[in-house]
Amino acid sequence: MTITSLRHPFGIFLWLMVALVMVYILAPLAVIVASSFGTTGYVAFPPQGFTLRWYEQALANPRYVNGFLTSLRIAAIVTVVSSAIGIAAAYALVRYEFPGSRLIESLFISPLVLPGLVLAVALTIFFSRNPIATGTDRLILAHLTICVPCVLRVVIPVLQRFDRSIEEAAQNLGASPVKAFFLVTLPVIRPGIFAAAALAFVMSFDEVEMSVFLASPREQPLTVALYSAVQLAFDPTLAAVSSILIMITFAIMVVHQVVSRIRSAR
Amino acid sequence: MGGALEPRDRRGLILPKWLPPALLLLPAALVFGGLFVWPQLGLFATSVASPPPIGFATYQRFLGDSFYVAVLVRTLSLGACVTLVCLICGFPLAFFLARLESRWVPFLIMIVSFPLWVSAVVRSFAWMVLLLRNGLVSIWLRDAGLAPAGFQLMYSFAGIVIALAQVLLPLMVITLYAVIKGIDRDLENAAMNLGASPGRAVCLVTLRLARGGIFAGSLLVFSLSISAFATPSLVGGATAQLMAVAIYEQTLEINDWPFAATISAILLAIALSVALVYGRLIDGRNVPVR
Amino acid sequence: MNAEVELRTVSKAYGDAYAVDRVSLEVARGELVALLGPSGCGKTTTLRMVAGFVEPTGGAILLRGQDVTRVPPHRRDTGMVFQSYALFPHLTVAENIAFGLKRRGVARTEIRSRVATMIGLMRLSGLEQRLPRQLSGGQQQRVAVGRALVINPAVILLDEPFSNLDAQLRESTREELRRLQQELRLTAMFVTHDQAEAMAIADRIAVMNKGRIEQIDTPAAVYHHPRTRFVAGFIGRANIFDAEVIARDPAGVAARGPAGITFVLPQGDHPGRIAVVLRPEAIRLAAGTDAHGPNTVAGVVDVVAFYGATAQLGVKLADGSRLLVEGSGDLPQRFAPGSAVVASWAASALVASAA
Ligand SMILES: Nc1ncnc2c1ncn2[C@@H]1O[C@H](COP(=O)(O)OP(=O)(O)OP(=O)(O)O)[C@@H](O)[C@H]1O
Ligand SMILES: [Mg+2]
Repeated sequence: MTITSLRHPFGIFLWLMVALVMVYILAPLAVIVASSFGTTGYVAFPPQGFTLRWYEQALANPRYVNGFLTSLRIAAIVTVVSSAIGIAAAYALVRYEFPGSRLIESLFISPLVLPGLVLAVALTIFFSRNPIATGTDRLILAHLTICVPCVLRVVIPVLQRFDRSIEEAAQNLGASPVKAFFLVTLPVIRPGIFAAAALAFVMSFDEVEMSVFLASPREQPLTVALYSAVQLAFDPTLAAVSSILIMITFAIMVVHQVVSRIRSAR
Repeated sequence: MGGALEPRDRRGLILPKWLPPALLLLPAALVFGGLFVWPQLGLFATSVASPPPIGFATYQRFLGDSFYVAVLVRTLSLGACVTLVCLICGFPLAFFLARLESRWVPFLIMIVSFPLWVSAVVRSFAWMVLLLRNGLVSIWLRDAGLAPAGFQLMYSFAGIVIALAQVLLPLMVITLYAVIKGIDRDLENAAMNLGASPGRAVCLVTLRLARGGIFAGSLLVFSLSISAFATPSLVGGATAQLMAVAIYEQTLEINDWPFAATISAILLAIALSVALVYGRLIDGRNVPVR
Repeated sequence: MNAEVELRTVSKAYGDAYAVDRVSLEVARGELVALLGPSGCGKTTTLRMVAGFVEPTGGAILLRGQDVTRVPPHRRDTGMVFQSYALFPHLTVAENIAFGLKRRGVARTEIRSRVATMIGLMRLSGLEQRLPRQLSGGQQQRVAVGRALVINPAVILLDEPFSNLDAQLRESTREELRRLQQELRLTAMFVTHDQAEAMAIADRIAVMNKGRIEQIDTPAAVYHHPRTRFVAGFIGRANIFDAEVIARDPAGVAARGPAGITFVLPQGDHPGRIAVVLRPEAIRLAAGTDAHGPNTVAGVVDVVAFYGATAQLGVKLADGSRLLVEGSGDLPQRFAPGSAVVASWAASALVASAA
């Protein structure tokens, strides 16, 4: 009789709580997806009828389509740049032991523990005083401040776990250090790098505060377009856009799970 | 230094030993220094520059104005309420996941953490739909006689707590899951074997041993909820009397940057001190390892 | 019916794999039964079903005659000593021992005196206020035993209680536990994969293999009369031969084994194919090359191991298999490697078990 069994009152209490909390966590997202297919002109739950009209409208709305493309572009650039910067720094921090490397590591990661809102305000003031970048570039730079630490945090443990003798063996067999890195180290730590890149991408794509504060009005990322639209009116195309995002995220997550299952099964 | 990029280029030219790591670290250092440290210092400088060159007028204004003191208190109590809800909902779920013997556990954890991957705007929008006057939750509350006609949770403190707690719950669950997983389940079995009912066994043993982790998770959720922006400003409306909303207002609508910087600095100070305690807890021996 | 613990065809399946398969077992009052078997054979699962942590998928468990199969652990009267000890790390030694008494609502003064008695019995005096992590492995083990004993359970369940102790401490602790168990007339079930430990401590041994009990008997009976080939091989050292029964008469049963050996066994009800078990210490050696008649075989000594008082020889037989022989310490002097020997044994030393 395990502690999670339903044979005693505590087990029943536990299952009940778990069911309620799971509903609490998941229901809002489910409600949005469900109501995006409803025929009523306002967002309603339970939805009535079935229609794809709101999806049509959402996909015909340049604000959302452009927002999506802008977000995609920003996230892609941020992912590539922050991965490169992060991997280089992680490599330096793990492989070259020098006094203070631990301190530098925790300093570089520290932007993650600060409120995004405060970072956004600081960067707003900063960019208005130092116009080193304009338009969307400001947002890209801003996202780097949180995505680089994020890559660092994922890649450093991966590099630490990596068995260095493999790399040394490659050099022993005649590969130059740079070649050894690209031929041996990189392929081995690739899953970790993918994870870091995916995390950076999602972080940038989903980020709200900096986007609201720094995005150029002519090129609004999707989160900003949604943020302002949500405040104005409850139109069902919003539910459609949200559902698309939810379903894309879900699909990525499932694919990731399946891929890692297959990889670990091999 | 064998495995690392060696301090020598192809032509055999000897480079100083510190050069390769320095070059590798340079871009990250630029990002950290130029886009993080410098702007933060600028923010702080802005907050203590009225009247110029050095003055604390904005701090006096914030702490002297009962409206802003109320905003601060509301923000802190929002943090406390959200943390409490997350604890009450999060512990049973985390305990369940940590003790369930099933190959479905990874899948369940994935499902629980799924909302973390969805943008805060989308999650807040979902709650707005449920909390508005004609939203499901508000209708239920009215039908159950728990709320008067015309009542809606939208734009209310309770509404913000409900929405924000849902947003942060996965973090609490994941933190507590790791802590409980580290507590030998045979300790609960031993307690039951000695005559404690399952509920008592959990209270007397698991809860006691997870105390450090519970505290750490609470600090994390607290610090995130007092500084959250999207959910409070959407569910609470643009006039919600919270620090985050006030900062937004002062920065983008009123353009009073010294005051915005001041509110940010105060928020930052609170979040940072909480984060420091949290860091100590995670590193230190306060989190039981067993 | 004075069985304190009774298992009736108890099974536990995980999916379609049986961790425990129709195990039946009775433990009488004051008896210590050891569950012995290789890793993964279901010993721990069996013990945990008695304690109530694992729910059987079939069969029934009785404690003092009461069916407790569906009773949760905290309402069963068992005292478990966990392999990891599972001492509460946030409670002192005294609090750990008092834990079960408190849950039973025993009066405070009585708790104090019973804890004090147990601390004396377990030789933990002076350590009452220590936390478990401030104790040595042996002390922790005694706290775990004391915590289980103080509530006077119907049965005390021990899951490899000595496995975390070093070899010397293991032996003394084992003897101490045996003494305690006999003095207090404790009913106990004891899990181990160490056959010497089981032989030394148990009144009866249940030998388990792949979720089933292959034989349950006194240590001597399990050793001298193994009922299956597995039991013979698992308990002590044994020479085991596949043999075919070729003749039966009132004097005995003749069976043909490998390397031209003819076994003559005492009369018994044997099937056509049997496994003949011959303990190494029952074999006598003589110099020579000719083996005549039943229960003898010729071979060449090829390995010698000297243990002081005893010694073991490996004798290579004609078919390449090896016969293990154990004898007194002078064996290596008498038979150097390479010498031709004839091995012989008494019919009464042979045991036939299921093939
Ligand atoms: N929770 C479980 N889920 C699936 N299979 C299990 C579970 N617990 C045990 N088993 C399986 O049941 C079998 C018996 O396990 P058990 O722990 O009882 O073995 P054991 O005899 O105590 O072994 P050991 O000497 O190694 O402790 C093993 O094959 C094990 O893999
Ligand atoms: Mg075991």
